[in-house]
Amino acid sequence: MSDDKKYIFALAGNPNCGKTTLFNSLTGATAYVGNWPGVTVEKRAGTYKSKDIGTADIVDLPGIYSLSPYTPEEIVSRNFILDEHPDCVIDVVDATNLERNMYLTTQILEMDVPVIVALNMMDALRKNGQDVDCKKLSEKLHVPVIPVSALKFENLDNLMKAAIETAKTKRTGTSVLLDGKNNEVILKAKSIYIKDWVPNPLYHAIKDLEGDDIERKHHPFEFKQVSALVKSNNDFEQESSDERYQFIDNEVGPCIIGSPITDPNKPSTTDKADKILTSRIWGIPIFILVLLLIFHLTFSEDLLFLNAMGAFGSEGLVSFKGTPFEGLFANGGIASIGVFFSNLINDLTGWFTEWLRSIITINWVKGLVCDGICSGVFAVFGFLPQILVLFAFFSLLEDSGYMARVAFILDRIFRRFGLNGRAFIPMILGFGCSVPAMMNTRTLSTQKERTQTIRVIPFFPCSAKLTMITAVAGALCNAFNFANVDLITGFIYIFGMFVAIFATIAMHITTQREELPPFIMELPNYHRPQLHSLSLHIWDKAKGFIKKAFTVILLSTLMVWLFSHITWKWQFLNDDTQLSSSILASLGMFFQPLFTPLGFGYQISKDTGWVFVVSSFMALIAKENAVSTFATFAASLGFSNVSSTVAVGYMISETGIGIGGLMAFIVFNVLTIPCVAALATAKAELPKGQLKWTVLFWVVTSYLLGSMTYLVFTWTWTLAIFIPLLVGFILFLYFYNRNNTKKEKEKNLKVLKEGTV
Amino acid sequence: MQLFQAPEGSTVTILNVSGEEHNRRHLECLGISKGEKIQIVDSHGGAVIVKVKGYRLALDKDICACISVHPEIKGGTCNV
Repeated sequence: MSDDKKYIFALAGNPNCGKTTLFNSLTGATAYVGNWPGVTVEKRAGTYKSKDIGTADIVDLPGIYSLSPYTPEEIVSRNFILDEHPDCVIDVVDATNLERNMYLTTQILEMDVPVIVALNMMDALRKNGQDVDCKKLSEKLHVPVIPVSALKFENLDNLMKAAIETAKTKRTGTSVLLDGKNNEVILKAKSIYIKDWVPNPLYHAIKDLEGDDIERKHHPFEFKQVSALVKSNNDFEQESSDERYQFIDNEVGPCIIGSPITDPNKPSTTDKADKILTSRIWGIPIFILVLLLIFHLTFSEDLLFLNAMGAFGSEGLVSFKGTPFEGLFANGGIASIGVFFSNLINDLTGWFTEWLRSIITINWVKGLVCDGICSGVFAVFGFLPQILVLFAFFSLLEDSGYMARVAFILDRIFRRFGLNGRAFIPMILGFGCSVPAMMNTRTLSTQKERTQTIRVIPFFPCSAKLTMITAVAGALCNAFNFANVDLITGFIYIFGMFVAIFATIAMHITTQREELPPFIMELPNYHRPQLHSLSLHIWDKAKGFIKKAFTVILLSTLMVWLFSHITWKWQFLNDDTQLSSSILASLGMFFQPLFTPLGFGYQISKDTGWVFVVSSFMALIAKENAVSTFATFAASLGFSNVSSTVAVGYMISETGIGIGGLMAFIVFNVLTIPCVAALATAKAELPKGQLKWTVLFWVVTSYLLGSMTYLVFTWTWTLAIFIPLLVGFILFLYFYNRNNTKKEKEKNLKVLKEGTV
Repeated sequence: MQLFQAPEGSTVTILNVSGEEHNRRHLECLGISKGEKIQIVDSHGGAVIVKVKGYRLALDKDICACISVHPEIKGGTCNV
């Protein structure tokens, strides 16, 4: 039987206990699931529908260890349950770790809200020869307990049935603490809240007695009265936590049936893997090797360097010379999957454009469609396989549980320099996209740390910047016979990370000075990646990219083509050699001198040199625009149906830009203001008034380092100036830090002394 | 002794957790509180991985210095 009411159910529980997996299974959504604590930083809603059972809105909340939040994303969960009054809270509990998970349960039960416990991962527990007596547990907790497996869709309908039944009832909060020695004081505190008609009196009473900071702010009046009930420096908080854990040991513990098959005292697979992966000696080299391997498998045109080692003759393993597939094995080596499919797409889109060109007869339409839209959009499109391959590798890292270890091993090294390892997780997410990465900074516990991390996230090149880096690097290698693509791409990625780490340390020492928050992080068990969720995730990324290519990027290329073919007098430029009198050209030329220190200003040809400036500006809308802009210009100048690398190569020979200028162009665009989407996220996540400083920081950093790159690559001897400057700067930071630390210590001592007097 | 001094593989009982209240409270929710028995899974350079309440928790050197522990005596309980 179904009823018409639409219920709202909230999923609450510890981090990494499977809330999002349950959410996906219930609603058919494809929200991202990872194997580390803190994947979900925002609440999200979906709908569960079943003809027989009913309809419900399911809200997935960020994971919390307790209802006294430690980080901002945890506050979201607390506030939702308290303020939005869900019809039922589904407390998701990891059955394989009842001991810790139940701690939160004992707190949720204190609220006046219907609660149902979903014992998740029951399949894993049963596989280990154990089970939970749900009936007994339900009697102890006074709420329904339903065993489920979110991953295997087991028992989910029963869970929803029970949740809807529970939602129809009313429930007043109960607490295990009421059986303890603080019984009286809790009831007294509760009566203060009842008197003031505050909902959830029991919950507030206990949190006040624990001295919770948020309570102090939200209910100052009652908080004062409650505080008066107890002596200062009492042990309520410690006692309450002990009593909660005692309840779990004594009452919940016996509900577990059977003993585990695997000996808990013997090292598990995870323990064994951790011995190597988090080892002091091997931890870092393995991490670097993993990164290099990922980049090599994604970008290499000569997989495993077989060609470079001379495994193939100059003709290559398979020769497609003279066929349209020539590009696939152009270098004679084996292309990585990413490069292979990129080449395939470039060939196919090239054909398609050529075909369009042959059927369109009107000249300006031909220009608009083939040069403007196709060249620009397809240039970006060719990178889809590489982006997806890179994305898949990073998803694998997240899904396996390795990510939390990476944070730990990096923390061990960088902590002494003032960098918290926890901050590396949002930074590494930045390789995918800056937007979710910036949002993930909510898992960091202090504002200053969030600010400095948000500022350096763009330095981790996102998948959109990848298009620009590989296209320009590829063209550079071809044009000057200099290095190779993976080398330059790898160098830029490492350079970006290096700048990010250095900038974070510098900020921590100077403007964002504070005591470093501690590194406290759960290390989940390793598990095999869930192929189903991985493929869904990759598909989502592909959809997002295609959508972006045909909306933002298409519009941008259209704009570029149009304004590069129209003069200020609204005349259409039919002759492509006159592009330099267009609106876009004059705007580009106006700003071009600014970029002289970066090697793409005055130095390069007046006729077309402004292209690099225009493309940098267009990249502010979306970073892929850098490449599409080049492709559109190259096509307009008669170089159409080529891959983006060849298009950039054409612009290089047209403008006469050098290696230095090109490297500076990459460095500048990687480090400068990110795209508008990331900018908006930064504005939302940063404290008020910090955005302008952050933008200034991006502009100055990218301009300075871009100039340095140009100078060093053009005149190597300038290193003799820059290295001492860098050393000087590091020394300055060192002494500045030492001085301030000394002062702070003296101040602390003074405070301590005065305090005792 | 402090947590980072505890030998790898040993089981210890937590005597006291000091430091900022905000952090202390967070540790308590995670099961790091007075009287709790924890196992040192991995310890080097001050940072430690412990097994507490049946799961793995990584802690940095500074926070380890705030946690004082007592080695477990085999075959008996230790009264402190």
